[in-house]
Parts: sequence; C-alpha cells; structure tokens
Amino acid sequence: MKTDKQNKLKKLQDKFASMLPMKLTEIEVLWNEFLDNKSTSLSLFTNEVHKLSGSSGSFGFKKLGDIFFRIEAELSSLSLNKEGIHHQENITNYIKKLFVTFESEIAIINKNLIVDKVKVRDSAQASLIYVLDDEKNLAEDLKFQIENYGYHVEIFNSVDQLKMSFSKIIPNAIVADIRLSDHEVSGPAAVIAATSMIDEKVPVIFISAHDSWKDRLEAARAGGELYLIKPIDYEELVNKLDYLTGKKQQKPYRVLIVDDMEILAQKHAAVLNSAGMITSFITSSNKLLDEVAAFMPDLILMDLYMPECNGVDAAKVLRQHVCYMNIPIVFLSTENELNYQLDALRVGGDDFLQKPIADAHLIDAVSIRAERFRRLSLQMHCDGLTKLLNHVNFKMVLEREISKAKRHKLPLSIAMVDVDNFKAINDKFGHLIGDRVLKSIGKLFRSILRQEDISARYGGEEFGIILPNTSIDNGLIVLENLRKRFSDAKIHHAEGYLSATFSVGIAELSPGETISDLINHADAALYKAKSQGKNCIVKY
Amino acid sequence: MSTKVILYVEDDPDIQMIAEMALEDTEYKLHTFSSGTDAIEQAEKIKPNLFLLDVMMPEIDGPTTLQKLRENILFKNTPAIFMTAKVQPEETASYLSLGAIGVISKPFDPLTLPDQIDMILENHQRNEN
Repeated sequence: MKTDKQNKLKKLQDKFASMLPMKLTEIEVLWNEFLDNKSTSLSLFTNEVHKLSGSSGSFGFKKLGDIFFRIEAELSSLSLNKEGIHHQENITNYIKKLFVTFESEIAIINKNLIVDKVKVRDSAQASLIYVLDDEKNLAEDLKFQIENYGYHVEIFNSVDQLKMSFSKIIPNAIVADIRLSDHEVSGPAAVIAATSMIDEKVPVIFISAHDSWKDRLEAARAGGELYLIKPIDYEELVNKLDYLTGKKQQKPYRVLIVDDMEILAQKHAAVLNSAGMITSFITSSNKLLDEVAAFMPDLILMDLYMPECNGVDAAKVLRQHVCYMNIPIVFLSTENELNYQLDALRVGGDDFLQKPIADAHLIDAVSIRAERFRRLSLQMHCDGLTKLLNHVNFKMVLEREISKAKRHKLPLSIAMVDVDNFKAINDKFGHLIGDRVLKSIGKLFRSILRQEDISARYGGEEFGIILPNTSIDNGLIVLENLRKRFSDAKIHHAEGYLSATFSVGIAELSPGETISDLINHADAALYKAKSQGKNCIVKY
Repeated sequence: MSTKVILYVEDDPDIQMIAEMALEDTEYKLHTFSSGTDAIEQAEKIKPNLFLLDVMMPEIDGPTTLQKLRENILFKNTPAIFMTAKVQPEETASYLSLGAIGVISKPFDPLTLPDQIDMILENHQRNEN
C-alpha cells in the first residue's frame, strides 16, 4: 500500500527519469567531443558523471548509477595516464550501455507508466534478427511484419554489410534471401561467410521465389532451418523465429512446499527458485487449503510425515475439492515410510522423492510433473485454434482478477475485441483463411501483451482481454498498439495477402461493479466502435 | 522527540530535493545550502545541532566546510555526518578523524535516510556515554 511519502517519492523519481534521456545524450555528446579532440577539457564531463553517479541510485536507477561509478573510476585512471587508450575504450563501452540500461530500469520501476505498456519487452531483451535481402520492398516488409511481433530487425542489402555488422553484434537469427541479384555470392554462401567468422551457431531461415532442388540443397548446407517460398507466410516465419530464438512462452512454475521443518522448506524453495520457479511454503497442513487458493500452485511438494497431520490425510482433504483434484502432489519421504508410500499413491499422490534429495533431481521431478499438469490444464482451458483461453475460463479468470483488484485496490480494465467484416472475409476467402485471421490475432496477443495480461477467444470472432493493474487510459494505449499492429499485419493466402482490422470496446472496473456490469460496459463500447466506422477503440 | 535542526550542504539540486523529501515529516528539520560558503554565512541564524555535508563539491569541499564551521565556537562540538560516493574503510576512517560521527554513502535510499541518520546519532550517543 503506497503511503503519501512513497507517492511523493515516485513523483520525484518520475521527474528525474524524464530528465535522464537528455542528460544521457549530453554525456554522450561531451565524450564524443573529447574523442574528436583530445585537448578538450573533461571537467564538465567528469562533473556530470559524478553527479549522476551519486544521485541515480536514490531515484531508483541503481544499475545506471553503477555504470556512472565505473566511468568515474576509469576517468580517475585516465587523469593519471592521459594516453590510457584502454581506459578511453572502457568509457566508450560504458556509455554505449547507458541508454539500454536506462530503458530496462525504467521498465522495471514504472509498471504503471505508459512506457512499460507499449513496450513488449525492454529493448535489452528483444531478439535481434538480421535480414539479408537486396530487394528493398520485400526487405522493408519483412522488417515491418517481424517487428510487429516484438522483434528488432536490421536490414542488410549486401554480404559485406552483413559481415561487418556480424563482427560487432551477433543476431539471434538470420533471414536471408536465396538469391541476391546484384552479387555473385548467393544467399547461402553469404550466410556461411558471415557465420564462419564466429563460434556461435546462429539459426538461419531462407526465403526464395523458387522451389528448386539446387537452391534447397544449398540452403540446407548453409544450415537453413526453414525454407519459405514467396509470397511469404509471415505467421509461419515468425513461429519458426519464436522457436529458434527460444522465446519463452511460459510463465514460471509455481510450487507450494509443505514441510513442518521450516529450514528444509526454505532449502527446497531456494533450490527450486534457482531453477526459475516461484515458490511458497507452509509449515503446517491446516493452512493448506487457504494457501492453495491464494497461491494457485502448479504443484505441491509435501512432506509425507508431519506431526499434526500426515501428508496422506492432507492430500485426501485436498482432493475432496473438485478444483484441486488434478494438482500434482509430490511426496517427500524417508525410507522407513515405504508402506506409507503405497497408501499415498492410492489417495492421489503422484510421486515420491526420497529424502535427502539431490537438488538436480528435485528440480527435474518437479518440472516434469508441473509441465504435464500445465499441458493438461491448457487443453481444458484453452481454445484450440487461437491457443488463447476459452470463453468459460475467461469468465472464471475475470472473476478472480476482479476480486484481486478489489482486495488490493488496483485498477482493472477489460477490452472486448471483434474482427471487422468477418463474415465477408469467410465468404470471400473461405473458412480456412478466416481461421487464419483468428489465429494471427491469437498470436499477436500472445506475443505483445505482458505476462500478467490475459487474453481469450470469447466467441466466434470475438476476443476478450483482461488487463490487471491497468487504468482505462493505459488500456487504450495497449489496445491502440495492438489495433495498429493487426491492421498492418499481412495474412497469407493462396493469391497473396489480405489485411484485416478489428474494433475494440474498453471498460474499467468501478467500485461495486460486478463481472456482468464490466463485460456489458465493454460490449456497449464495442458496439459504439462498430457504429463509428470500425477499426477503432471506444472507451466506456 | 526533540527536533534536530540540520545544516545540509549539497550542490546537486536533484539530491537536495530527494533528501528534503526523505526527511519531511520526521524529527529532522533540514536547512539546505548549495555551497559551503553560503552555509557558513547562515549557520548562526539557523542554529543547527547537526551538520550533513556532501564531501565532493565544486568550490569548497565538505571537510573544508566543516573545518570552517568549527572555527565558530558555537559549533565546535556540533556533530557532523558526511555524504559521499566513496566509502572505502580507509576513507571512512579519515572522515571520522576530521570530526565526523558517521558517513552516509551515495546514492542513498531515500526511504531509509532518516533511519540511517538515527543509527549514526544513536551510535554517537553510546560512545559519548
């Protein structure tokens, strides 16, 4: 809960943050002036760096402050040895990191600010794709369509350009044309020339106007993971890029640990945390039901023998509840309790792990079971075509989010989205293409929305998005971003591409409102959007 | 809780703002000066019982400011706390030998600044008694 003081502090931080880009630019300019003319005085530069080194941390920019601190250290070494080239290089490198660090820190600090909303992931994390194609229009198209899904794309028209950039920054993946018309060096050869310069393996996708055996062979030899024929199916391309760049689709597993020995519970929690899982623990089973409801674990790790109530009985109580019938329960037991183990399996435990347990084994056992449970849940809860939540679960999740919002006094907005002229698309292009339109909306939502946002297929061509901790105005910004991206997306069909749009209605939860009120309001706003010409967003 | 009147010298306006905000509604009343010279001039008027001084400043630095303040018999024994980015143990020792009772490192966490000052003062009391 924010105190008055914290609010004031936040205002000061925001003010500081808004001045930072200008200050960072100034610092860069001052340093470049020095690099151009070594006789330039560094005193202004040093002062600015010193000030920011001492203040950034107080305004929440600790990492940025660290970089300034290091620049200060290099500066003092430099003042003792004016020729110190490597000190100068170090400073240049630190300065290069400033903007990226600023953006990643501000994204963390200001969860409610517009800046975080519109950015998919902070630019330090966006995957970098190099596109090698000298056909200008195609290259621009590729860049635009791929960036729509949250990537950062650089275009190269020639092998030399590609090689030069490769030596500086290695991309997460390459998309290359098989034929580069102006040059003798074909696409695959160019890719080999670039990637042979480095040790790392960079995945490659080739695109081509031709489907010849020769071209495909060369592509395969150059390590091509996919060969796409023009006109390009952008969805297929981005799906493969997601796979190749290892884009994390998953939320971390949530594990609830039940062990009467607190120190052991903490140890298990620490081990699982180190594997990226989110944990909670309780030391007595009478808190089990409350904690499961509040924490919503993917898996429960439970000590078999506990003084007040043993694991077997606790599991029985849990399984009495319909909604907890499927949560995996993994028991931890010692050898003496072998008989118990069989009992435990019978009442619905899923596995045994022997205490003491090796860290790696614990992580594996938990991951495998959590993964399986998740996949099952997804099947039950998701719409097969769009991979978004289905109607029933959307409403369940919305109920839950409304309670959370009321409890923590945080804003909550929802958006109802409806594809424009969907019937006409189906009539003109067929249902398969209509499905493809829906699929691409699903993909766009999953790629661009934050982890906490929830999107669902609400009806045939209607979607719902839940935006926790979001005011209606911030919601407008998020949806406008989505609306624009979708209207720009090119959806592939037999004769080329089609574009589609959707209309949106947004509503924010007001005190005392129920779930039906909220959905009705968003629907009313959606109706207005349709009557106002479609491809637009209306606030309730 | 007796009010502590603090003579605060800091040249960076951003840090001034955040320190003032941090100590609002606490028992510390801050009087801020952007330079040691101004502070020395006004010191008698505000009757501080604690000095909070930034170390690195353009015209006269923290330690020199303290030295000059102490030339006034009113402030011979007024406790002083330095604020500095460098907090190596040797440097802390050197500040203590200059008559400071403690050092607060920059950047400081605004939410805990009053507590940090509390701790230093308590420590000082304990040593005195």
